[in-house]
Amino acid sequence: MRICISDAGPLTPHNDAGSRATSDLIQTLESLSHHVSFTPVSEVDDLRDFDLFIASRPGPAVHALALPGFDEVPSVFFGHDLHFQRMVSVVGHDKAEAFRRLEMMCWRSYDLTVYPSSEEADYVNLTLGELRAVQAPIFVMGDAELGSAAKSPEPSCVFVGSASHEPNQASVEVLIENIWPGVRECSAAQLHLVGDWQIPETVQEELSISIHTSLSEMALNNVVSASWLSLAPLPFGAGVKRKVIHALHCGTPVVGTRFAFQGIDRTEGGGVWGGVQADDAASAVACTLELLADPAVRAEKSQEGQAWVQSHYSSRSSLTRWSEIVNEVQRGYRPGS
Amino acid sequence: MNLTWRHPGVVSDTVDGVTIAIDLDNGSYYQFSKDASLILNGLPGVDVNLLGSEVGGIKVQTFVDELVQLGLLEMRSIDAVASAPPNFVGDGLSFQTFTDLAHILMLDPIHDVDPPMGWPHSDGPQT
Repeated sequence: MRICISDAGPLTPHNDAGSRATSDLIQTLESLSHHVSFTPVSEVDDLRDFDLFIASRPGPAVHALALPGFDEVPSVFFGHDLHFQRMVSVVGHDKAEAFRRLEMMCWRSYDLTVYPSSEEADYVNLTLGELRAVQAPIFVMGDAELGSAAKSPEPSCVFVGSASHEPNQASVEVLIENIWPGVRECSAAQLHLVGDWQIPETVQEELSISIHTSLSEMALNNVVSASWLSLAPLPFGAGVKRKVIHALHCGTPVVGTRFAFQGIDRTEGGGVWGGVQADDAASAVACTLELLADPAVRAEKSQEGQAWVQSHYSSRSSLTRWSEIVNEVQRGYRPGS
Repeated sequence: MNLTWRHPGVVSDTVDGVTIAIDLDNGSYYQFSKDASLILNGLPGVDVNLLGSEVGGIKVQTFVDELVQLGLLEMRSIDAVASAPPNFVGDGLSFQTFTDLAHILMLDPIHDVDPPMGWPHSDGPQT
């Protein structure tokens, strides 16, 4: 099948998680023997040259509505996350509401909408009052995403994220000011901050913080795998977080807020697979110290996190789910109709 | 000739009774009042009598002319059946514009980071 995937511009999978998700999708569809063309939306001539069109993210999806042939080809809106939900904190209510309507236009205009979590797909279906959205894994975690490093002999934690991403900025602020000093009072743990973070050297020394501004993928995998815990105190955000999925895949338990664990299934006891939810700084300190001091619980969380990722984000899971989605859309599938 | 959204430069939809339109040439986002949405929802074509009437003290023709001036609407040779005059709710003929959503629309900066910082690079020299 000839599939066209469009985003705003060329993919930069080594620079942003959104591009990485789209790259993973292209790889998955190619593994399913489809002929996939990635074309920035401004360079698509005619969608009738394809059997299926997939628009990645709301902006390109809106632009694609005016493309020749849009109404004549089965279409999928690959949403990544509910943008308006995380935009409230950044741009205010009015613009976030404008964006919500814009995302609604995408949900209504495309034959099928795909989000990485069931919660997001459910939100769409409830809002529209009909089944138009489904869940599918947004990332693929395989051997290439695993680190080869063993756990470090000394206690260490890691935070991964770009400083240009607002939820990360807020996370690191809370981490440095309210969480890590509390952890350091009772532990000799080291904190690895991966990203372009500017922390005064005196603070880095005082709190034993190492900043890794630029890492190769392999080096990143190793830092995450070697860390005892991954910290994700995101005070807001939306969608499934790659940093969390990746840490679980590397066998590193996560201490994070409910925003960090969006899209991660709950255990029977109400916890999250492979991690501990801590929504405020005090409980984050307590949970981090508890896990650092208990190798048995860490090992248990590590195993359950890896098992969960294996069952939801493996290459096989992605292939199966996207195979279903392509087949259903191709058959003129409109859920619920 | 009938009044319609400019094609292919403008996309629109009506959700929750509110019409939105995006000018793809400049990324401007327009959100219309419910009364305005009732008129725009009837496109293509607007009843001649409606064009000559006033809603909330504003002539419909004047409002439509403004949207044509903005490049949102155009006259085109297209089949249309004029819809019945709507029952206006009384919020007048107005719209809200966001011009600074343009970069969000295409770039989604929340996902973007500036290389070489931020998200890790492809394999290469480590720093």
